[in-house]
This record gives sequence, C-alpha cells and structure tokens, in this order.
Amino acid sequence: MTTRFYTDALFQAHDTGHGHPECPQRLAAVLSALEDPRFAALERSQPAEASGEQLAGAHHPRYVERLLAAIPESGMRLLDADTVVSPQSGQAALRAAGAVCQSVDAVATGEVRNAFCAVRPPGHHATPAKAMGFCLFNNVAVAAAHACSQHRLERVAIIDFDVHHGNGTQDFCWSRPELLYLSSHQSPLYPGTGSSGERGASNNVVNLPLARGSGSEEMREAYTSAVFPAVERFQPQLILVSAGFDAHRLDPLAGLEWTDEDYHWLAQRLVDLADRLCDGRLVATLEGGYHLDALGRGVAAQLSAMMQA
Amino acid sequence: MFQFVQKQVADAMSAPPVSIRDDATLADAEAVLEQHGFNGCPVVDAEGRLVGIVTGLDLLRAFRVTPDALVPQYRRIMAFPVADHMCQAPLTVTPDTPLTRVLQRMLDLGNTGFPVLVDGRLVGVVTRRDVLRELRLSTSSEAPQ
Repeated sequence: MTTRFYTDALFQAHDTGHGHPECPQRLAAVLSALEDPRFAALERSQPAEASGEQLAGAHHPRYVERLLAAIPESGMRLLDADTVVSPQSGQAALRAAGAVCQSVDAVATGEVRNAFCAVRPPGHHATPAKAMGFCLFNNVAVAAAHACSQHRLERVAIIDFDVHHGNGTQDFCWSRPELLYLSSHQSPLYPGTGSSGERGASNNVVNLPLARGSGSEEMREAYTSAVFPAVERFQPQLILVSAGFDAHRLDPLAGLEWTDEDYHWLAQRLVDLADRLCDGRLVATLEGGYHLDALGRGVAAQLSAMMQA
Repeated sequence: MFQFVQKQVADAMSAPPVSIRDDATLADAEAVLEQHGFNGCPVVDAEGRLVGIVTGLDLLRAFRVTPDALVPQYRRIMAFPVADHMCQAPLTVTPDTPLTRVLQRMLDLGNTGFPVLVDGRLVGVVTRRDVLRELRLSTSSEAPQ
C-alpha cells in the first residue's frame, strides 16, 4: 500500500506579499526536501478543487461566497492583520480543501494507505464563518465533514501539532460527537484559545497547552499521557493530522524547543496509532512552519514514517 | 514587521566579536568595557572557545565590602584574574536563532546581549542595540499595505 502526496503549483501562486512568513518558499522548501531518493516511491498527485457541497460541510455557504468575492483581481487585500489574499488565493484555497477531501476518499476506499497534503493556505484557524491567521478554508474540518457525510464514518480523530491552537477546527468539532479534536500548542500564543478547560460539548476536545521554552520532554509526556490514550479510547476509523512544524526550536513565530528528532518520534507514533486503530488510515495536511529548512525536514520526517507503514 | 520575522542572529550580530582572554585581569576587562561602551564582554580560552562572560556588575561585585578587610584593596582586586569573577555558564545563541527568539529571551531574562557560538567557539555577539537596529530597518523598509 502506498502513500499519496498531494500538491499543486497553485499553492505557490498564493502570494502573501514580500516578507510574509506564510510564503510560497515554504512549499519550495518542502518539495526540495522530498527530492531525496527515499521519497521516490511517493505517489504524487494533483488535487481538484473542493466542491461547494464539500465546503458547506464546514463553512457557511455565504462565507464561501463572500471570501471568494473578496479575492482581488490584482494586487493584494488584507483580510485581517495577518491574512493576505491575492488573485490566485481563492483557487489555491479551493484546491487545498479539495486535496484533503481527495485524500480522505483515497484512504477511506483503500486506494492508498495514507496521504499527505502539502498545501497553502493553511486551514486550522479558519472558523465556519471567518478567515484568520493566514487561513481561508479550514481544510481539515472540510475533510472531516466529508469523511462523515460521504464515507459514513462515525468516529474521526483530528490531531493538531501546529504550535498555534487550531481555534477554527475546535469550533467546528465542538458540538460534533463524531469528531475528536486534540491539539498541542504553545500557550499563551496566538490565537489565545485552547486552554485545557476547553473540552467540547461531549468531552470531544482535548487541549494540551505547552509553556514557552518547553521541549522534547514536555511534548513527549503530553502525547504519551494524554493524546494517545484519548485517541485509543475514541477508536477512530480515520485519523486526520494538522501538521504544523512551527513548534521547532528554530521557528521565528513561536517559542517551543522541539527538535527534528521530536518530529520523527511523533510521526512514527501517529503512524503506529493509525495502524493499531484504523488499518493505517491517516491523512496529514500542512498547517504552519516558518523556518524553511526545519519545515522541509519536518515534512520529510512525517512522510518517512508514513511510507514505512 | 514581517521582514523582522525572517531575521536570524547571523544577520544582526557583531562579528568578529571583541573578547578577552581568560588569563586577563579585572583591570583589562574594565578597560575593554570602557573603550567600547559595552555592558559585558565574552571571555575565551586560547582556542577561542567561550568560557564565560564578564559584565560591569561582575567587576562591581569583586569590590563588595567583606569582613576580610576594613576597606577593599582596590589595586589588588583589579589584578585578579577575570576567570575567577566572570559568569561561567552564560546563556548563548547560535547564528540560526531567530531574532524574534532573541528578543523574547532578552525580555524574559533581562540580558543585554548574548554570545553567539558555533560548536563552542565564539563567533559573534548580539545585543539589544543590534535587535533594535534590525527592528528599525525591517519596519522602515516595509512598503505600506
């Protein structure tokens, strides 16, 4: 069984302006890291746009219309202090959400074992009705909704190891008992949500705030004592991963001290978890990660583990 | 501000740095601080490895009144080896440390600067002034949005 890798040139055409940390070079760094021969067996694929119906699974239809109408024909527009759109951004966002839905299709039908989506813009801050924090559509939420509606899955777990809390994904999951959302993130940090007391309407949200300066030990402890056992209890039929690589010690937007080795450790355990609980069905999608080399190495670590599954 | 996010210590540090040897005296150290207007100065061994950092506060501390003498013996104290009075385990950064993290560490710890190390060897120094300069350059060259 293979690992599928979705990406598209459009993701690099989503222009956020000179010096913006969520920049096209991020994907170039990822692709460059994957030129290594050990990734030759990756099945590379180009995604299609998410349909209106798929997006409506996680966003208000009027939000989708408004967002696409806000895309400028030339130049750039700021949606908030951080979130920039330019002429190709709408298509890139549609295709990013589409990539994660197609990954779910491929994994749910057994076409491939697992899949990774190297997409821009990222998604986990986007709420059902609002773009924020570099995110336009909540890719992982759209995919979770698609998994439940299209493939009739009854239990989907979303694990989010981006250094920022996935407020949008949490909002989406909050009242949906068929979804379990687990996030480790630095706190306090943008967007300010994700305290351990936020647990979801049916105890289906697990937040693990980590203090600035904390590293391998705290991270491994949090995953071993809280994340993995909660996923085991939930018995998901599919694991979705919001894979952000900005908890790395070199990342300029945060203050955690994770190392390359930590990302290897985590990737391997996520793959093991999927093997044990849901026949290896795992779909990971790129969120943040703003140190280009660390990002490339992080994605490579994630994919190495997925390909060895 | 976005440009500042991309900056690393290597973009801002003074290199090669002014340093003093570990066999220098407190008087030598004071002369270097005075000459350059520094708050502190890295101390290196003969191979250029960082062994400590000496600050103005370390010098003042050497003159603290103690029960050993009625009056501190100023001239004798100035001849003490700097190695006995420096901070021996200074916090350091590397050239690839993001300046955002240096700034945060300065706020957390109150440090005025950090030695920059590669494999234990001192390659530079990054100070508050360096960070402020990079902030100014990053913001002044930014096109209005």
